[in-house]
Amino acid sequence: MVPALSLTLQVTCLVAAVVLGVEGVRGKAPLWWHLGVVAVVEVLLLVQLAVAIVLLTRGGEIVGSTGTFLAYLIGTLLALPLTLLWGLGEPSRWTLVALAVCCLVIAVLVVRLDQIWTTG
Amino acid sequence: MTEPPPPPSPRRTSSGFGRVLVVVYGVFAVSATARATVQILRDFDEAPLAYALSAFAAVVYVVATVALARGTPRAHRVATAAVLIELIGVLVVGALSLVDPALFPRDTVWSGFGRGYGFVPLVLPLVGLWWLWRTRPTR
Repeated sequence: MVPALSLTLQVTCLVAAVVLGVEGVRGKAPLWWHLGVVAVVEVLLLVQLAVAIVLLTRGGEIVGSTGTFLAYLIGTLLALPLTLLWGLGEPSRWTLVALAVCCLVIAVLVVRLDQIWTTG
Repeated sequence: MTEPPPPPSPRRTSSGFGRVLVVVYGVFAVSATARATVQILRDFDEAPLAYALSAFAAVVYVVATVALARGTPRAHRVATAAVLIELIGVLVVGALSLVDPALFPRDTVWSGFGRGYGFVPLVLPLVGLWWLWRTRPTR
């Protein structure tokens, strides 16, 4: 899609995963700044959605399956809110580990999104 | 600062580490369901066995996710059954797909022991069974 945005998202997701994972393993309970880290990733995902919509309405072509592309796009957006909702049902270190795992999954999905857009 | 004492072993499958496990199972439930739906709607005739298997795997993941998230003693039994089926599935399909690749011309989540998913499908049921053992209801 936009290589710079995709790369920024991947790096941010990986950094967020490491930060939240380490905090969780160290036994921290969720704090406000942890939610800030999650918010940064989510905002970037919203930017990605906006960029995808703009590119598609301007006649951008997806090389791969459009359905799969949209599923990944929406999946990445919903993953963190759902994990947060579930994780905060019992706030503990494991909430942070769950969010870290979610960030890793999003990083993989962002790579796949880019592949579907450019090479199918 | 003293280290807090380790929490007592949680009884419910949805508690503690279970929160993380449910998220991982949830990811597989959602992605397997989406994938199977697309495959079956678009071109079921191309690889009926592989796609039917995809749908079956999706159901197994959904059942396991919901049962692990509920965490009642009854759900514990359901989750154990689902995770056992998942383990057998990934072992049998993994072996068959290597011995006779023509059997599954399209990849499923369990082909090559979950190679396409970083072998997570192979490790996940083992972690699941370990966790279900740790949280087994006391009799």
